[in-house]
Amino acid sequence: MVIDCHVHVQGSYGTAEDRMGYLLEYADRVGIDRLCLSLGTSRGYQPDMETVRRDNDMVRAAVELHPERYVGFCYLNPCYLYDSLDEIERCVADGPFLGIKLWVAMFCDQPNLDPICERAAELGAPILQHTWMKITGNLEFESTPHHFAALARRHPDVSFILGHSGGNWELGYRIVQDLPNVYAEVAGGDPELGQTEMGVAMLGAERILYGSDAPGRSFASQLAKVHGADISDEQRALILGGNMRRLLHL
Amino acid sequence: MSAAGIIDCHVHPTLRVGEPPAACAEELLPFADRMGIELMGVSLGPIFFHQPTREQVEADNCFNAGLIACHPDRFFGYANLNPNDLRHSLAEIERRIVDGPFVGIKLWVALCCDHPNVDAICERAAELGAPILQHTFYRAGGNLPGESNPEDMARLAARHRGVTFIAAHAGLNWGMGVRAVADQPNVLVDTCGFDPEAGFTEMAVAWLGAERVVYGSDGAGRSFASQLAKVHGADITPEARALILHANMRRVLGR
Repeated sequence: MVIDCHVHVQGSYGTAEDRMGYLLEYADRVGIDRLCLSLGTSRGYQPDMETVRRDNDMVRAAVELHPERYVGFCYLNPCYLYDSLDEIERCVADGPFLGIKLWVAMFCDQPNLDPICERAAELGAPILQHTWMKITGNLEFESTPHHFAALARRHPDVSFILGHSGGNWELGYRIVQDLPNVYAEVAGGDPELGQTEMGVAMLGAERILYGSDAPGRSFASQLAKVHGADISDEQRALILGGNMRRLLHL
Repeated sequence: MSAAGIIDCHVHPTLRVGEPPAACAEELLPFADRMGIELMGVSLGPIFFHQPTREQVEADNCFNAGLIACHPDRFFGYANLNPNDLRHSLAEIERRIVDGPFVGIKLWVALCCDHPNVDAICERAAELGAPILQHTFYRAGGNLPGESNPEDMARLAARHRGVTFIAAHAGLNWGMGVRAVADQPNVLVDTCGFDPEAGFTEMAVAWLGAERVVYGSDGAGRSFASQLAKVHGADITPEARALILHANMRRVLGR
């Protein structure tokens, strides 16, 4: 089973409903069985909670329409702590969402993240946290793998996914290497040679995940990082779906 | 041999430079196996020369003949020529294609392909049924001296309808390259040598038809996987994909 741990509804082509259908058509073309979906059509870096709830409802609609294909990751803006905790109850505790997605509203090492992580631990929900190290400088509150590692160290009973492996994956892997509760995903950059191999060498195949960041990136170009990697068939199977299946209890 | 049977029309033996062909094959074949690539068209040598001497041309061709001798079921070859040296080019065609084992011709950046010297090469290629893999680029910063663009390719192809040409890299700027060769039915484009950009394969199929698009990687300079992604991920029919991945090249090679 191939599971893409990082997919969005966002995009400029057709309506959100159209795109949920297109995504499955594209996924079928390259053999992806399950898609972990998060964020809606809002594009703001600092969404209010009404926007966050509307985004999550789009993901919910996709999951309800295709429960065998879509897995929901609940989007939160941790600047609104109590509303975020309520949203976890509405989406994850009451279902059908299985994970939490955090983007660029707040550095993820801030104290507001701790109650969110504590609830995630109780629910067994993995947290997909966007991280990047941009050579032109990050967005105002965009987390780096350093912020991420600080949070993951405080919550060893939560499974964290290092979004984009930090963009600069050679640094990203090293920063989270000693944190066994951290997984690194390959989504969102060009298919550079060595990314998957280095992840396997440094973290082990059990801690590397296939993700695409579709529709911002194509499934095919991101899958190429895994299909073309110099790793064993067993390692490839873990990265493409085995690890995510374990994380999501599928 | 892989069941997928993909043919990669554009590969260079740039691994394990300084070692013999068998060592290069030993490193290259596992990558190809992983991606289901059965057959690779090789050209140029372990080191690229913009303006190769006779000795360099011959060394490249000998090296690739060595690769084919090691694995005749996995490699086919294009004779590397420097068309500035027409007499030697024609002699190499006799030595490498007529006498074997090469089946095609590779032209890179020594001389713009719209030059009359290339006409003489094309006439012999037509007699031999040898396809010509011609590098084509539109570089944003200006082409190298002697480097062809797809318009040069189109003019040459219009003069030699009996030759099958592959416009390598589809001109790099494929939005322009595909259109530049669209009216030349004897020109195919390959998919290689640039990032896996969305829409390239779809545009090539829409403008040229799937029969005129062939998968190539430019490996080992590019990974097989990233270049295959352009075809595997394209919004085209399974029949079109099969043409691009192997059937068109089987037709071109007659195998």
